[in-house]
Amino acid sequence: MSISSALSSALSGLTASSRMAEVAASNISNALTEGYARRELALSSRVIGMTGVGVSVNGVTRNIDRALLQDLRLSNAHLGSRDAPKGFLQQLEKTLGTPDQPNSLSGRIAGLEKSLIEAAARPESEARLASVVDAARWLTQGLADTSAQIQQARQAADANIGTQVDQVNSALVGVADLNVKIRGATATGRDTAALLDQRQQLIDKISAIVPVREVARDHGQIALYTAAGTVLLDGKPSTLGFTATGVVTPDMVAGTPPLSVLTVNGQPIATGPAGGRLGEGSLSALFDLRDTIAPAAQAQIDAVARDLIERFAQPGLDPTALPGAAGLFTDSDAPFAIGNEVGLAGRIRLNTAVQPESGGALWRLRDGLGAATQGPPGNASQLTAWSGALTALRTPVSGGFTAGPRQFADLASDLVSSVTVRRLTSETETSFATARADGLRSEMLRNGVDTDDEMQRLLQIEQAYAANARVIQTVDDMIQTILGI
Amino acid sequence: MTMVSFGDLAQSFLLRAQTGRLKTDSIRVSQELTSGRISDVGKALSGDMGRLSSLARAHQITSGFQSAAKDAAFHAESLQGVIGFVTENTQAMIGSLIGAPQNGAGDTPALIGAEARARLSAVLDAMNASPSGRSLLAGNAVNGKAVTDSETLLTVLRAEVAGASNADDAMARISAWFDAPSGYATTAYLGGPAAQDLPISPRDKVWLGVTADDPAFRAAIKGLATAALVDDSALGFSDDQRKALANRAGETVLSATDALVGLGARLGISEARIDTAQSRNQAELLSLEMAQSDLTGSDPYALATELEAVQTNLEMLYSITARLSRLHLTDFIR
Repeated sequence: MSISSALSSALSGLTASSRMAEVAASNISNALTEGYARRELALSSRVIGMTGVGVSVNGVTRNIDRALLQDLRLSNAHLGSRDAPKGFLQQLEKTLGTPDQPNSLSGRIAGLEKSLIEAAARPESEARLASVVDAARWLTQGLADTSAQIQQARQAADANIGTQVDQVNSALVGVADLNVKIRGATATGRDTAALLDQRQQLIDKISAIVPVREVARDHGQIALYTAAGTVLLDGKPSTLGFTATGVVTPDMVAGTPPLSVLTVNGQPIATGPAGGRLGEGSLSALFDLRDTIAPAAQAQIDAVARDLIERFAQPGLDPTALPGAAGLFTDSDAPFAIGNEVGLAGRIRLNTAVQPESGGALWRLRDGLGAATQGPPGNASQLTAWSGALTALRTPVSGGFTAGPRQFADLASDLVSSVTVRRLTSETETSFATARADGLRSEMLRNGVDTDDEMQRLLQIEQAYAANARVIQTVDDMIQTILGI
Repeated sequence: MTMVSFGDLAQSFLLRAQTGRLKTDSIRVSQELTSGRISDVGKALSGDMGRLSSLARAHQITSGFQSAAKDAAFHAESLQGVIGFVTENTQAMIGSLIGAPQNGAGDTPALIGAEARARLSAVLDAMNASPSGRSLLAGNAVNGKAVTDSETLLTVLRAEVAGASNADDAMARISAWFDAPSGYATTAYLGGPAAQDLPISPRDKVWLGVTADDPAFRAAIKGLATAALVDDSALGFSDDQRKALANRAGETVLSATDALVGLGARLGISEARIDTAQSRNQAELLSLEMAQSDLTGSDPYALATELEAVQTNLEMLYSITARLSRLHLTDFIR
C-alpha cells in the first residue's frame, strides 16, 4: 500500500513539475506582452482519506493588482482627456504665430501699418499703394487661415468621436462575449487566464476613451460603469450612438442638427462639464473641443475681425464713402451686419474697390472708396486716416476680451496671449497627468514577468522533476526486488 | 506569493522613458543653440505676448517712418537745389537791372531782355523738375507741371501791360497780376495746394510744403518776367522808360533773392529735423532689435552647459543600458 502511494505521490510531483514548466514557459514567452498578467501555479498537498498523498494542482492564478489596474485606467483616461485640447491649442498658437515673426497675425498687422506709413510718404506711388493692398489682403488671409484651422480641428474632433464611439461599441460587445465564455469556462473548471487577459486588454482599450470602473459579478463575469456612473455593460452591453458630420462650419452649434450628440441606448447623455455623465476621457475631451474650446476660439478671432471691419467703417473716416456702404474691409464684399458675427474671420475680405484684379483701382486707397475720379496724387490725408483707424483706441464689443480701449495691434496681441496662456496651462496639466500615468504604468509593469525569476523557478522545477523521477526509479527497484524473490 | 521580482518590461520602460526625455532635451538645446532663438517663446514669456508684440510692431513702424524720412530727405535736397538754381539766376540779373538807368548805350534794354528771357525760361524749367517722377513744386498735384512755360507767361503779361503809360504803370499792372488770385495763382501756377506736413518718425512731422506759388518764387518770376519785357515792342516806351522798368525789375529781383534765401533757410530747418529724426529712428531700430532679442534670444553659455549635462546623462544611461542588458540569469545557466 505504501509503495504504491509513494509511486502515486511521485507521479503527482512529475505532473505538477511539468505543469509548472508549462506555466513558466508561457510566462517567459509573454515577457514582452504588455497587459499579460504573470501566471502562477497554485499547489497544495493532496489528501486521500486521512493521509496526504502527493501534490495537487489547484489551478492557475493570474497575478494582478486590481486596485492598481483601476488607478492606471483612470489616470490613462485623464491623460487622454488632456490630449485633444492641448494639440488644438498648440496648433492654434502656431497658426497665430509669435508676434516677432512677419507671418504671425501681429506681424501682418504691423506690416499693414508700415505699408500705410510708407504709402503716405509717397501717395502718388502705385507700387506703395499696391503694397498696402497686399499687406491688407495678407492680414485678411491670416484671419481666414486661423478660422479655417479652427473649423478643421472641430471637424477632425467630430470624425474622431465617430471612430472612438465605434471602438467602444465593438469593445463592449467583445467584453460581453468574453463574459459569457468565462462563465462557461468557470462552470466547467477550465483555465480562464487567457480569456481574462483578453478581457482586460479590451477594457483597457475602452478606458483610454471613457473612464470605466469594473464591478465583479457572479462566475467571473464583470459589469462596466463609467466613472460618472453610467452603465456601459451589465449583462447586456449598452450601445453608444453618434453620427459624424461631414463638414463642420462655424455656425454649427452643439446640440442642434447636423452636429450630433452622444446617446447611450438612444438616450442623450451629457458630455460636459468635466466629462458630464460620461466622465473625463478622450471622448469627452473631443466633445469639449468640438462644442466649447474651438467655438470659443472662433468667437475671439471673429471679434478681432469685427473690430477690424468696424475700425475702417467709422463714419467720417472716408468722406467719399456712401452711407451704409462697406468700409475698407468687408464681410464677403458686403457691409458687416451686427448679428452676423459668427464665422466672420473666415469671410473678411478687402474691399474690391481698391483691388485692380477685381475691377477696383489702387488710387481709391488715396482718394477714398467712393471717389468717382482721381484726385491730386500727392494727397496723403486719406492714407493717414487709414493708419489712424488702426491705431485709434477702441473698446472691443465682443469676444469676451477685457473691457478697455486699445489699438488694433494690442487686441491681436491680447488674443495671442490668451491662447498662449491656455496652451501653457494645458501643457502643465498634461505633464502632471503623464507623470502620474507613467508612474502607475511602471508599477504595473514591475508586477509583470521577470525572466530571471522564471529561470530560477525553472532550475527548481528541473531539480524537482529529476527528484520525482528518481523516486519512481527507486520504487521500481524496490518492486523489482520484491518480484525477484 | 510575496515574491521580490521586477518585471522585465518595467526596466526597459524606465530606460526608454529616460532616453526619450534626454533626447528631447538634447534636440531642443541644440536647436536653440544653432538658431539663437528660444524654441518656446510663449513659455519663456509666461504667455504674455504684449511686450514682444509691441516691440516687433514698433520696429516695423519705425522702419516704415525711416523710409518715409529717406524720401523726405531726398525731396528736401531736390527743393534746395531748385531754390539754389533760381537764386543764382536772379542774383546774376541784379547788377545789370539796377544799373540800367546809368548805362548809356542804346541797346542795353535789348541785351537785358534777351538775358532775362533765357534765365526766365531756365528758371521755369528748373521749377518744373520732377526727380523720381514727382513734381517738386506742384503741391499735391505731383504728377503735373508746377508752372507754365515762359512763352505763355510772357504772352499773358504782354496783354496786361499793353497801353501802360510809363514804367511805374507797367510795373503796377504786372504786380497786380502776380498778386491777384485770378492772375498768377490760377493762370501760371499749375499745381495744387501745398502738401501736408510729412510724418518722418512716430512723433515728428516735417514741413516740406514749398510750391511754385510761394511769394519768393512769385517775386523771382515777376522780376525776371518784367526784365524780359523791357525791350518788348508791346510797350511803346522810350529808352529811358525801358531803363526805368529794368530798374524796377531789378528792385523786385533783389527782394526776391532775399525771400529765396529765407525760404532756403526755412527748408534748412526741416532738413535738420529730418536728419535728427533719421538718426533717432536708426538708434531706435537698434535698441528695439536688442530689446527683442533679450526676449526671444537664447543664452549660448547656459545652453552649452545644459548640452554638456544632457550629453553626460545620455552617455551614463547608454552604459547602464548596455550593462543591464548583459545581466541575465539565462546567460549564466549552461
